[in-house]
Amino acid sequence: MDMTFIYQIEHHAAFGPLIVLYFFLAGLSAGLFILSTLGPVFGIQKFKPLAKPTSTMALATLVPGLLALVLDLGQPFRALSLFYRVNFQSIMSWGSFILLIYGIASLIYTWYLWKEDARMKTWGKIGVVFAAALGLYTGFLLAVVPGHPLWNSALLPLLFLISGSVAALSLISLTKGFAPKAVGLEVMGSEEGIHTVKVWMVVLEILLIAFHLLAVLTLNDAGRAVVQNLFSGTKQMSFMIVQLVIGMFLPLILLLFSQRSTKILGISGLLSLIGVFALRYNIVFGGEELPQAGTQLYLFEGGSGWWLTAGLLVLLVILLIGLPKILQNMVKKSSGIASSQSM
Amino acid sequence: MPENKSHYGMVIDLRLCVGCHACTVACKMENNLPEGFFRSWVVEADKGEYPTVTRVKLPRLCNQCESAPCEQVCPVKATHRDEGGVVVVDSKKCIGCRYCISACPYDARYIHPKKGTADKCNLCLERVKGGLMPACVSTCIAHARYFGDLNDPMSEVSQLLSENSYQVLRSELGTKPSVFYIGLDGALAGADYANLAKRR
Amino acid sequence: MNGGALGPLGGRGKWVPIKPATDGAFGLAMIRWIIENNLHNISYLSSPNLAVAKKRGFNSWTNACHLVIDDPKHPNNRKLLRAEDLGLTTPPLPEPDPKQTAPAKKLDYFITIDKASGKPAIYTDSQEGDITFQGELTVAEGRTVKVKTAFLIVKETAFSQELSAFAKDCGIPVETIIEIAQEFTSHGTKVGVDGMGNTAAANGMDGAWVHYVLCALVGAFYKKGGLIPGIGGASYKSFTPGPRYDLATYPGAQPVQGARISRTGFAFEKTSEYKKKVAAGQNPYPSKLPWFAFGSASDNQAIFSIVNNYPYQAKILINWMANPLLSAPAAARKEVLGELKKVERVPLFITIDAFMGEMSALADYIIPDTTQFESWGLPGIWSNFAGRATSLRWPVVKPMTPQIAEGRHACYENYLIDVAKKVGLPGFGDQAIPGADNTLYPLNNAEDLYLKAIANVAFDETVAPDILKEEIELQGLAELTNAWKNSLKPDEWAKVLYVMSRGGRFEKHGSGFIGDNYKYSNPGCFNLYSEALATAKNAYTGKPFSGVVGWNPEAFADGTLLSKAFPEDKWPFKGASYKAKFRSATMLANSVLREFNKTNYVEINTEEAKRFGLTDGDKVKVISATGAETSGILKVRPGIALGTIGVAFGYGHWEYGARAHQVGDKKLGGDATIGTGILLNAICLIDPTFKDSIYGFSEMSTGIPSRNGGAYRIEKI
Repeated sequence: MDMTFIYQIEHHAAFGPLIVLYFFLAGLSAGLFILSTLGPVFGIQKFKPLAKPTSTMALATLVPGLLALVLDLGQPFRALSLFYRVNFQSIMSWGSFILLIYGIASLIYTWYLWKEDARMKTWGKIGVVFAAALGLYTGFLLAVVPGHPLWNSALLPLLFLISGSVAALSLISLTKGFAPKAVGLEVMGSEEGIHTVKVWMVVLEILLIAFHLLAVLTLNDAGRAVVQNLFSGTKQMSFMIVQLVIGMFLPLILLLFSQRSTKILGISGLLSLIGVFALRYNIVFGGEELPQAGTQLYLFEGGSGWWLTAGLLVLLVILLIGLPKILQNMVKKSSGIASSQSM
Repeated sequence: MPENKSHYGMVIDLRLCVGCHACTVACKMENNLPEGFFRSWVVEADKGEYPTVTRVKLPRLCNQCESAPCEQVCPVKATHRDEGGVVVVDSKKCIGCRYCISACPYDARYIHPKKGTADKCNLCLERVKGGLMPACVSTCIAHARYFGDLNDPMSEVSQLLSENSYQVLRSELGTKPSVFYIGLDGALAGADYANLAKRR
Repeated sequence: MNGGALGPLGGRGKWVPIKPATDGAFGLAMIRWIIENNLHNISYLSSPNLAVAKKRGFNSWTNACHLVIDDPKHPNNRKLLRAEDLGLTTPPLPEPDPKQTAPAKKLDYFITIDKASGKPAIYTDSQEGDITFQGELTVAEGRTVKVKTAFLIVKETAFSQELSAFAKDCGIPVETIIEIAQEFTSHGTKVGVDGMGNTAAANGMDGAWVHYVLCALVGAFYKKGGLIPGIGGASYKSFTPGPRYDLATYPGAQPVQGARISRTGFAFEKTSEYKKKVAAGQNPYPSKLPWFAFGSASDNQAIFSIVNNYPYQAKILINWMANPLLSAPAAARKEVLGELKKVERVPLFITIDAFMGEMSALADYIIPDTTQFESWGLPGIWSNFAGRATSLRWPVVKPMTPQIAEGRHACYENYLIDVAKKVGLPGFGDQAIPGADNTLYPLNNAEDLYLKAIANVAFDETVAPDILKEEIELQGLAELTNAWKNSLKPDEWAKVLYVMSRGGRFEKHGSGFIGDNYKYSNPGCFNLYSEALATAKNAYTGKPFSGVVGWNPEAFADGTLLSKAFPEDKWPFKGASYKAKFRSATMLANSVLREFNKTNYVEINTEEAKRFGLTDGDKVKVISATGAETSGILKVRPGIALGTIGVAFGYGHWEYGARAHQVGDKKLGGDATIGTGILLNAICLIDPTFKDSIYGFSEMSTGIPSRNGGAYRIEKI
């Protein structure tokens, strides 16, 4: 190019860390919910022990996710207007209703599940549809934004759903390895089945990422630039080291070669969770960083978004540990029967 | 766009632009913009290989797309159309979700740091409704910017388009801009990935 | 030098990069090619006087065909040949004007070889001169004098080098020079040459002169499509003896005496230092610091005079609306700033300024001044308009400076008036300004002076019409007559308001030309040979200057070539200080302009960056050959000449709000974003010839400072 840019102005990137966190938690919650329904709603026996723990985990991950979404708004007090001002062309508009229905359904499902009420099946089915929608729609939301080669792909919604499922399985491994009593996973059973699923999910995730990046790389100049940025540019550390090595290959190796110890599986789960978060970060930040015109990278906001993200993750941990207890007490109170057995 | 309605647009004659940036400043003053944010700005580059070098300029602003991605993605329809099909933001409805910021391929939008809502060029509609030209058009010392009704064949902008060959920015995205350039060098409109600025 | 800004011309413009301070080489190359190919306008150049030139369709004249004494044995060597030198009879002197009190100016009877007769003739008597004559003319009793035409001397200078040598010196290829010269001589008188700050170099006098010589080769002066004066064309009488008031003289006025501290416009040979040395039998040269026979006031030179206490100490320094510490090359050096701060050096330093600039910040007393919205002025207009015009500004807001009395605010004019009245100087107070009615009118306030100047403007030439009542209402001018009623006579207001409401007085569009001829042309001669220059001496070497334009590479006062003292292989860059797009001193506080233009850069060509292993955005040090360095951010772009460092002027402030000041109980300023960028002037060269003084590298005949050119190198930090 025989142009040397002399005067340009700097623009700001759109999405910040709270959005990355929301994408991460939404996929995680959706994956957990789907896992929860596999036993009680769809009758797959080996997943039955997971049902109650993953139901509360789904809620525990949803709440900070919703908070992240609302806190990220420039006008958070107008968030409810999403429900009475609707734009059918906007994926975000669809998303607000998906979240609403998913949230209500998962609450009701979880309540009936813990009360061992048969109505959980209906609400489980409703919830599964919207959980899948939740896991997919964030990918659609990015995919329809013009001029972002890293986002403009039909593979993105699928990648988000699959990685959400990986995250869900990883969270189960993590909590099973280090705090099984707290989340109710002391009797999990069928570790084998879950691990097989997880291995295949991670392989699928890696393949999806590879296909996606290959397509973007060969698409056009912008595509090549954004992929090069991941491998050797500003996102090299977060993509190569954090997402690929720490977040995908290392947990896969741990999964394949040391299945005995729940602690090692727990570490593998933690690393996978980091990897899924990094994936969201690299796609969102990496995909919106390069300029549409000129040579100036987009500016990212200051640190306050990251502090809020950290705080919400702390809230997540608190809810993960606290929600099962709260639910147990509530069920005890409402039925008047001391419940000390798990299903 | 229905034919009997007006369709406001702008024609920028790059053969005349001298790169004085008066339009940038006029827009800032007229619209009282926050520090660090612009609704209209000018990009400049040295073009050519030494010693055959010229300085090319590209005044930029919201392209008032007929098929606007920002309007499409706004979940609460805060971004909508006003007189002349001008894309405007109702800052009382905007929730500040930033979807439109990412959706605009022309870097025309930003979140107002104090209001928390999306903001962008609205072709100075208050001035236009009062019979004036947008501030950038009024102030241009080279008379390089023109504003008018593209649906009116007798308007200055329509005549310019019928007499000259013109280009738009990033036509491949199908946004159908209402801002037309005469004498556009496409390389100035795109990104130079080989020479990305280092992060400081 | 700093190029590429040619977008709006489509394909009709072209940037030709040139090495800084080599305009003379480029110009001489063009002159050589034009003369070699006989494309100079002989009809114009052979016109010995204005009347002949006008008959031939031109609107100006030169001394191309006038003879110059080129005879070292002759007492008038290097001067233009006059009738007296040949013993020719001169016309009788005109009857002395009884009204004139000053002695009649001596007339010059220059000589040309008249083409018709082949004999020497007084230039006013000839219809055509021989422009290439050289030879010996008989004076009397067999005595002869060797002469040459001015044109021939120019030609010889232009032919002193081959085109390829000139091309190498300026960095422009021979083909391009020829292309430009060809184009330049293809449009008759409808061509022009314009230059700006690029002529501020240590050889800038030639850089500027060559513009005129080129236009003189084609006769473009004062013709439509050619050249008219850039500023100072025809205006209405204002601060002169005008139709209503005489604002130039007053009873008791003292004549201006003495030598300016800037050493400009005063030949060394006239100084007492020179006379003393000659009387003592010493070689008078060199002077302690250079004197310049030409030029008017120069703050660039004054700064160095002040810090060296030469030619005399500045006991009281008054600075008004100026910032030479930023704008004078080399003035921002530590040594200079250090000297100015010493009370022994400048015992009393008063500044009158609206802003806390770099210069004003050093003052002992700061008098607040008004800005352009709060003050008066009748600035000249630039030649976008050729007709007679005077523009005007008047206070449109109440000044923000302290109110010192009812209707009076602190400002430059009121300060001068009050001090003058206190000291008892004539020309101020109630009996000051002479009116055309031989009455003395008061000068107690700024408006007393300016409104009278505007009255002159309004009544000059055809008297201006009265303002209409509606116009007064539209612009809210009614209150002005009341506020300033003591400054004008009642019958003057209607016309003065007319001029004020229109921001000046302007002839109708198109009035500047009669046909193709500029109406307000100066009848003076365009010197291809300047006798004044040829007989003036370099105050260091004692040698006379060349009488014609030449290609003089930058050289120090003692004649040492810059390229020898600081060879280009060690000092590969020359500086080009250019006018910034988004900066001026008064606009500095405008944060909008600073928002999209946060700093300036050290700009170099892409190939130079490659050569020295530098990349765009690097932090670099710029080091000047005479020791001084500064740092900045590198910008690499193709639109700048090779061997050039381009730096936009107006950055690198250390005052103007960059530094905080305590004013009473208020803290003002302290915004570091105002101080960003690099100031090239801070490291411009000083002249190493002067070991005991600090002296900025300058041109030797006029004192033009070395703003562009010089010798620098760049290092990565």
